[in-house]
Amino acid sequence: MSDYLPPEVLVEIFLRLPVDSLLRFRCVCKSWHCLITDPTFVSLYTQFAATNNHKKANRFIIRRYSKVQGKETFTLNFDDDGSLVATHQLNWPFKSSLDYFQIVGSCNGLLCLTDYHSKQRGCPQSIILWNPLVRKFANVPLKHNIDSRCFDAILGFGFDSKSINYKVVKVVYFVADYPSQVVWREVEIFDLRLGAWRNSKATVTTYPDFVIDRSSQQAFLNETIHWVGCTLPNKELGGQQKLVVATFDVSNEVFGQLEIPEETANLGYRNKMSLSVLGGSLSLIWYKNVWPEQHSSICYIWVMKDYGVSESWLKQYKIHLTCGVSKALGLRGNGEILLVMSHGLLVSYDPESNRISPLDICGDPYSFFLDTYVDSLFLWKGLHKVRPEVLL
Amino acid sequence: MASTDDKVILKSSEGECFEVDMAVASHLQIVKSVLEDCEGSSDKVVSLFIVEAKYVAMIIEYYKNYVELKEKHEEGGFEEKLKEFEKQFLEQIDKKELKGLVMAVNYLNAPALFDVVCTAIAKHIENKSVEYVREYFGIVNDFTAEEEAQIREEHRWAYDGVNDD
Repeated sequence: MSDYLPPEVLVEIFLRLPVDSLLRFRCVCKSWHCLITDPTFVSLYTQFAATNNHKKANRFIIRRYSKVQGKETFTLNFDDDGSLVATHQLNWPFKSSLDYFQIVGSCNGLLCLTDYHSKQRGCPQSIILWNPLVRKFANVPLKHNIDSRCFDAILGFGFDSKSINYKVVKVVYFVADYPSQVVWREVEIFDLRLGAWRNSKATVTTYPDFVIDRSSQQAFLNETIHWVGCTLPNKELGGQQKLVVATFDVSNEVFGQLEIPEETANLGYRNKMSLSVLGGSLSLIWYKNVWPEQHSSICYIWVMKDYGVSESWLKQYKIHLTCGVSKALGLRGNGEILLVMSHGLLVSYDPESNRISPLDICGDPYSFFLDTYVDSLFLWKGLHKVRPEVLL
Repeated sequence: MASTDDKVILKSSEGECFEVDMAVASHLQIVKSVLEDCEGSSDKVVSLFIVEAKYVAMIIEYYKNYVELKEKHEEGGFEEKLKEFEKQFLEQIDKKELKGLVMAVNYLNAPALFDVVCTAIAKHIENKSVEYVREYFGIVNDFTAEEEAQIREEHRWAYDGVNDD
């Protein structure tokens, strides 16, 4: 047999290569260049990454902000059992009007970031889609046709594997008397393939009876964005409200809601609650303040064992450390949990032994963002009407 | 246990014959469809015209272990055990043979091993230079020097930290 590999075999090998290698191998020969730059291949590569991302759960993207340096840093880190080795320092040239950007979400190789006006709440100043590995970004056009003082805009970001497309969802609602009187206004989708905003398939009549906590970080799982939400007051129950998981299915573009563990449902917003995907499961993290210790909190983590089944919520971890946990970020391959301590140091916590090991990464505690990361060629070229710009 | 009726003979391009359990051979889609086409025939020899004996042997070794491990770890743990075996299996294969193997597996249409070999080739070349990759696959560069320089310029950083051996 000769050395010659047919295109269908080459494509299968290319699908398993990292982005850096693919960009480099375009100059091997003309036929490789054609195969790699073909829009169909870019789609295939993105879809392959989405369906095989569980195999790459050992790679993280980490963002942190250093107050001393006044700098926002992004790195790709390899989870090497002991340490978190930074393999890439990513080039992020933008400066937020606040200290750092709010990360709407990280999804299948792309990040969506936004910068809010420091004074006008609910009004994004910019929305950026960024593919750090191909070093390209695209600005999402903004529409300022609403009076942002009376409206609240919640953003979400997801990947629709059916249409191999990324979508930013903007939920805008009018708040008369927050949160008891909310009038839904509009739901819009920024469709990356279309390169423009359009109305969501969700119509006014199907808008749900909940509001979304703007400070809650989204969790993306099963083609669905999850936020911490709160139901509107129920008159029959004396105006009672409860916390829920507010969902938006990016593929079918419909809202939904899931129950949160009963123990936490009536706590209200005053307690810090957040959602995350830990080890492939939807997780709820509750930071319970312990008075009078100012920096101390107990962190409880519930894991939804069977997705969508309320009864399957399991209180899996209780983390009580004297130096105080600011954020629970992620789960490692060795079963340890990545935590940011109140003094801004990233540590690896072993739930078995209750021991922590520092990881030599620090920053402003609330600036930390961490997610598993897969390669994508999206935004590199083709496929979308958005003109991505190069970062050098 | 499998009886002799459950055996099939695979014939390599050199004419070498391998007697294989049906449970193993059925993982090769091409063998499966050939046997289905001549159902009822007592002749259970399948000629793999373009596959050399050394690759036939490798493929049989892989699927023999695959079938055994699957049986042994029906209750769980199969995937981990298979990963361990795959690691050993790949260690004994020369990097140059991976190309022949991937062609053979592609021809025989055996998805599990195809994934393993494609991943191994990708792992082998991912940090290599363009020059190494051309030599490895026997590819002649058909770009002009200017064209190549222009493509390299677009993503200069992608050429850092690569090696040639």
